This record gives sequence, C-alpha cells and structure tokens, in this order.
Amino acid sequence: MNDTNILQLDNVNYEYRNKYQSVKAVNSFDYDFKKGLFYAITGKSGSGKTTLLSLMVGLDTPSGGIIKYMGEDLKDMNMDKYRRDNVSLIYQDFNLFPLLTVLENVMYPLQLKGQKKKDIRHLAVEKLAMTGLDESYHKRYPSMLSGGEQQRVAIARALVTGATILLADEPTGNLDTENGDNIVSILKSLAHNEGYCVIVVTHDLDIASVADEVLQLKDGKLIQ
Amino acid sequence: MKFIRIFLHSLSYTFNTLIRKIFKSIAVVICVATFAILICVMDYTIQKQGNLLLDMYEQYKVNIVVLDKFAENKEDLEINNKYASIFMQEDSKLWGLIDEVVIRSNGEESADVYLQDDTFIDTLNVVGITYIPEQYEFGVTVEMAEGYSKDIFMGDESVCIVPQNVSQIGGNVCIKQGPDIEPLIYKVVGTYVPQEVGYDEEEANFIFCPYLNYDQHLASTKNNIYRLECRIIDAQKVTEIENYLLKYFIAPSMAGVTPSGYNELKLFYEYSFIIPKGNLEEVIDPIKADIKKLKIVEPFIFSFSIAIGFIISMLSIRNRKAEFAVMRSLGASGFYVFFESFMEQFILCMVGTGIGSIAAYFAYGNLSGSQINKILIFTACYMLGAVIEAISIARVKVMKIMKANE
Repeated sequence: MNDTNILQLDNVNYEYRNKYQSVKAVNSFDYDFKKGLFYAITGKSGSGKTTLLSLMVGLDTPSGGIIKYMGEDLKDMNMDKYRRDNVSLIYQDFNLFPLLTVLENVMYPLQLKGQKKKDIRHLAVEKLAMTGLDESYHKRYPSMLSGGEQQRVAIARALVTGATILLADEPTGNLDTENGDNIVSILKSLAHNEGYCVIVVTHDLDIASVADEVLQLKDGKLIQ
Repeated sequence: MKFIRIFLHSLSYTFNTLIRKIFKSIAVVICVATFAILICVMDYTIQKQGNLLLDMYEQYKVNIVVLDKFAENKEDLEINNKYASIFMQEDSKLWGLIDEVVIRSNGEESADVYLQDDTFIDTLNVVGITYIPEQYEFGVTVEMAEGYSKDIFMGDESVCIVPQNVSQIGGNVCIKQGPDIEPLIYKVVGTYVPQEVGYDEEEANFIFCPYLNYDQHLASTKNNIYRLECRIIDAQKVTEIENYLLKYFIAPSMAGVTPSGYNELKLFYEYSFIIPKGNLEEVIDPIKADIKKLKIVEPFIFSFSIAIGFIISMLSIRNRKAEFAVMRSLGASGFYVFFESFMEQFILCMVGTGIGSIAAYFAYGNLSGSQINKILIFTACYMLGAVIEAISIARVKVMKIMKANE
C-alpha cells in the first residue's frame, strides 16, 4: 500500500434486492483514495453515488469486494468507532442538532467518544474558527444561522473528530453560489493545506471543475 | 470513566432535549397524565359502584319464609321435623348462609310441671322454639339468665323459659307428659310474667324449650313445625339459596301446582317458599346495570389508553428519526441511540404517569391495587412502543433516511 493511500476500494459491489428485482447500485468499483486530494464523484441520480458514500462511511457493507482504511479491511473494524475516529460525513441538509447550540453541535462527536467537556471546548472553538465562525456564533442555535453558516458548523463538526477522510454529500446543494463557493474553497483548503482526503458527491459541475480528481459513475460503475 | 462520561452525556442530551422542547414535553406529559387519570377514574367508578352494591347487599336483609303449597299461609303449617335439618344442621348447604332461624311448634302439647321435689306447679303448653319468644307473638316479655342468649335455643339442651311464678331463673323443673312417661329435668334459663300481656285474651302459660330438644323428647307428632322462617346473611347468595331450596320446596312461581314425586327429604312437595327480594332488586338492579355497562366500556377505554400511549411513544421517536440517524452517522453505537431515544420516553412516561397517579391519589384518597396494576400496564405499553421504535431507530439505514429527508 502506498502510504498516501487512505481508502482503497477493491472490486466493490452493492446489490439491492427486493421481491421483484435486484439492482446493482455499485458495480465492480475499484479505486484508491489518497490523502491531501479533493475528489468529486459525479453522476446522474440513481448512478450509485450515495450508495458508494454510505459504503465508504461504513453505514452499509458491500455485497462483494473489499474496502480498506489504511490497509485494514472495514469488515474487521468496529464501524461505530471507524465513524467516530476516521471518517466524517457532511450533508446537503447540514443535519445539525436543532436543540443544541453551535458550540454544542461541534462538541457533540467528541462527547460521543467520552472525552471531557473542558478538554474539548477549545478544540471545538478552534475548528469553528477554521471555518470562519467566531465566538459570536457559539451560543446561537442552527435555526438562527444562514445555510452557509450552518454548513460551516457542519464542517467544523466533521473536523473536530480528527477524522482524515471527509465525505460530503452535495454540500453546496442548499446554498447560494457565493456560500457554495466558500464551502468548496474551505473543503479544498482542508485537502490541500491540512492533508484531509476530501470526497464530495455532487451534481455541481463547478465543484467537479475544481476537484483534483473527478470520478464519474454510471449505473454504479466507474466510467472515468 | 469513559463510559460514565458517555452515559452522562447521553442523559444531559436527553434533558436538554426535554427542556428545550418544553412545550412538546409538557404536551406529552399532560397526555400521559390524562390517560393515567382516566384509567384510575374508570377503575375507581367501577370499584365505587361495586362497593355500593356490597353495601346494598349488606343493608338489605332478605328472609326466607316457608309457606303452604298455595303460597298463602305461613303459620300453622304442620311441617315435618325433617325440614328443620335443612336450616339447622351444620352439614346443610344453608349453614353459614342464613341466620335468625325461626322455627316453632304450635304449642298444643301440654305438660305437667313439677319441682324437683315432685311438687306439682302447673300444667303448661310446651312450645319448641329456636328464638327467644317475643311479646307480639306470645304476649311475654322474657328475662334471660345472665350468660345465656338466644343461641341456646338453636341447640338441643334441656333448658326452658317458664312463667315467673313457676320457678326462678337458675332453678330446675320436671316435665311430665303422662303418668307412664319418665319425667325430664329442664334448667330454667329465662322467665316471664304471664299476666303482663294477655295472649288471645288469656294469660300466657307456655314453657318454651329449644326446638331440637322439644322435637326429640316432647313432641307428639313429627309434623310439628308451626312456622319456619330465616334470614339470609349475604343477599348476594339469594339465587344460590333459591336453587338449593328448590330441592325441597315448590318454586314460588309454581305455587298451587304441586310437583309430582318426592323431594330430597323423601317427602312430598307440600310447601313452597318465598324470598321477598323485590325491594332489594329495585335497589341493586340499577347498580348492577351500571356496573355491567362500565365493565363493557372500561376495557375499551383502557385498551384505547394503552394504544394511545403506545402510539405516542412510537411517534415521538419516529418523528426524530433523522436526528438519531445523524447520531449514528457521527459514530454513535446502536445501543447509544436506543438508550437515548428510550430514556427520553421513559422520563416523559414516568413524569406523566407519576402526575396522573398523584392526582388520582389526592382525588380519591388512595390508589387501589387494580389502579396501580392498570397504570403499570399502561406504562409498560407506552415503554413497549418506545422500545420497538428505539430498536428500529438503532437499526435504521442512515443514508436512506438522510436522502429521504433531503
């Protein structure tokens, strides 16, 4: 394994089965994701992007093939721990906890790990600052923020865990162009300056155009 | 320590959620409390009506009166002495179900009464009796010896009540019914003044003995019961007693139509009986009808309440599916999500049923075992809904929910 390879997908398949049919959502997907790069996965609706994302984040298990994190098969890992420590998800809808303040939202994943509140506060503040949110935002609730600000909080929440892989599902889907561009530049900077492996699932060709690598999916297959 | 911190964090999140969604929390608590009160009210109402019914049964004393076969006369019946066994013997099914047994003979037998030194005193009419004779019936006011009650007349001891001029209380008298008959000694346990009130405009001149003793030693015929009545102790047993009496007596509705054959005493059906329960039925029938209606309605209300509890808890968790899915995607374990969602409903349920129970307690002064059981069942069903939905949430396909949400 090349030491920059962080996530390896080896002949990964995923098949949905129901009473009437079986659909190959991901079909023989082979790819090695590296640290420090910004990836864009594109494709039409139903091409298997989100399924691929859920496999990479460990929310689903492939019906065939192997997914390795840092050379270790995900099947041999505790998936909850993998999501707590190694991989973070950013959603189109931000999915912040509406009843927690901005700071509490960012501290939440660390509290899930059982870390002391006083130890994690400064880390959460630091990550919020990295996404451009100062102290004035800390005690606000998500409903008091704009879409762009909420997405920044979501990114700060993703970063705080110390995960090295950031997976984003249409992160600019609910944002205007200016906010969308800001988010993309934050994600790109995290990849290039902080060494994160940033994988963005998107329809947005503008994001694809700034990505280091663009992976195009069609019927679950990597075509480009 | 790490697990304790995770546990405390989970609790803190739960309380945060409950407090920051205070109106929703209050709404759920009020709903749960209302159903808990409703369950208590229904149960209490049934209990109250049940107690009222028991009170009525206790208040209304119902008699059994044996009548002739036409159901017309209750005196001078000349009933066979075997009938006494139905009302007076311990192995009878009526034993323990009746009291105030009134059996008396007609008093037609006469006997010569002597003192123990063979001094003749008077000739008196012998009456076998199971109770202390009263003024209205015999024209006597009896003074009983200390330590003796009417119960003595339910046995077969050789005791008697005589006129005051015959003997003093505590003395003995001899009764002779004929020159060839062995005299019998009776202890005087009561006396009366014969002149006090006339009976049939004549002075009372009876010697009263316990019926069983009379029947054994003094009766001249087996058909010696003049009157037979008793009181039912527990009016709830009226039907049971009625059915039992039909083995020996003509049913009141069949009076005048003597059934063929013999009764269980191997005697002809010659007597009927009446249990005057009209007043009792007037009082208890509406209460019974109310209880019947309540008992039909109550299970529906109870089932409805627990179904609502079950649904409330399920929906409360299901509505926050996306929130729990986010927790899963952040690395929360299935158990953590289960605990988080369950705990919230547990607190709401405990507070709601607690308030409901306390309110019911203060309203009614206490909570019965049945009310507590029903509240526990309600709580269990509420929590069952929470458990089912919490398990389903813990196993949820996170991405599916996220995409559906978008």
